Amino acid sequence: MDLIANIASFVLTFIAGVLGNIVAHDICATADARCSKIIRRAAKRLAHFDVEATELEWLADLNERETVREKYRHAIGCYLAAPRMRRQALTVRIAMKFKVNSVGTVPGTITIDPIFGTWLMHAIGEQSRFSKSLLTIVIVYQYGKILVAAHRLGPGSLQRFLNECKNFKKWDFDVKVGRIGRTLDLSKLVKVYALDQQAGLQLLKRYAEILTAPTGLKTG
Amino acid sequence: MSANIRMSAPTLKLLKFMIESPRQGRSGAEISKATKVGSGTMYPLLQRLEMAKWIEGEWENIDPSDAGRPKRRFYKLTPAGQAGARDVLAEFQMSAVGTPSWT
Repeated sequence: MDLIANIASFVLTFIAGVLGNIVAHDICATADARCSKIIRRAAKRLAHFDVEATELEWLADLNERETVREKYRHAIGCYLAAPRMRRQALTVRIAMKFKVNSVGTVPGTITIDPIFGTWLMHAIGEQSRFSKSLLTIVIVYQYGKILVAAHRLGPGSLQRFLNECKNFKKWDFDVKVGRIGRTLDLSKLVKVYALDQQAGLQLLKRYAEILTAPTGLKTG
Repeated sequence: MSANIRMSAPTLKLLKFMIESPRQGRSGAEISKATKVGSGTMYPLLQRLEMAKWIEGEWENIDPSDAGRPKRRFYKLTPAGQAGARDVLAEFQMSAVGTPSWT
């Protein structure tokens, strides 16, 4: 009985060994193709303007990895990095400077990541009570940040800034909005908006078209 | 400018590696091997540094069909990046060349 059990276990171990070797060989032999496939999928998760160049870069780096383990680690790493890179690439930064008489230059910055930006656009378009409330909170928060910046300019500057808020049409604006590889000067747009809201909105639409046009650091 | 870049351990490792020969272009694979920072962390970091204009990337000047491999992208520190990296490494008491002083 022991002999039969020993023979059976030997045969099973042999078969498992052979199958294991075949599978391991297959994994090694197909590593390049599988990792390239993972990288192509990862690249599709990037911002549209980064897909082509980054895919090329990652595939070239895959070529430099020597072992199968390194190749898979690289490919999976790229897959995990892609959403973060997409978010970074699509984040819009607005740098503002309000030149106010008797106060000085009040700086302010707004960073809009794509998730927040999409929500903000929906909130503006939707006009529901909830979205209006959230939008109000955002505006109050940003206004608060500007007031803090005004307060930091020196004693009494906050009070002078609040007094000058009524005369905002007379202010000078320096507003730059940008994302990766593209910066727009919105100073004139903001000045136009302060004087005539309708004309300002028309101009804003044109700027939005320019900002969403395909471009990126890698493609120039 | 450094205020925009979070100075995490991988960032410092990367800057330390690149400041050793600032004019030499390094591919992502080379940086990853030398610093032992995985691709998942390194590429977003390279993107952040490139956005902050601390590093600049340029494509390898080869014909892929002749070379039999895809073009690599090389990164090197900009003058602003070199100055920033030196300041940051000094702040964290890491010598620009050699092992960190705190090890």
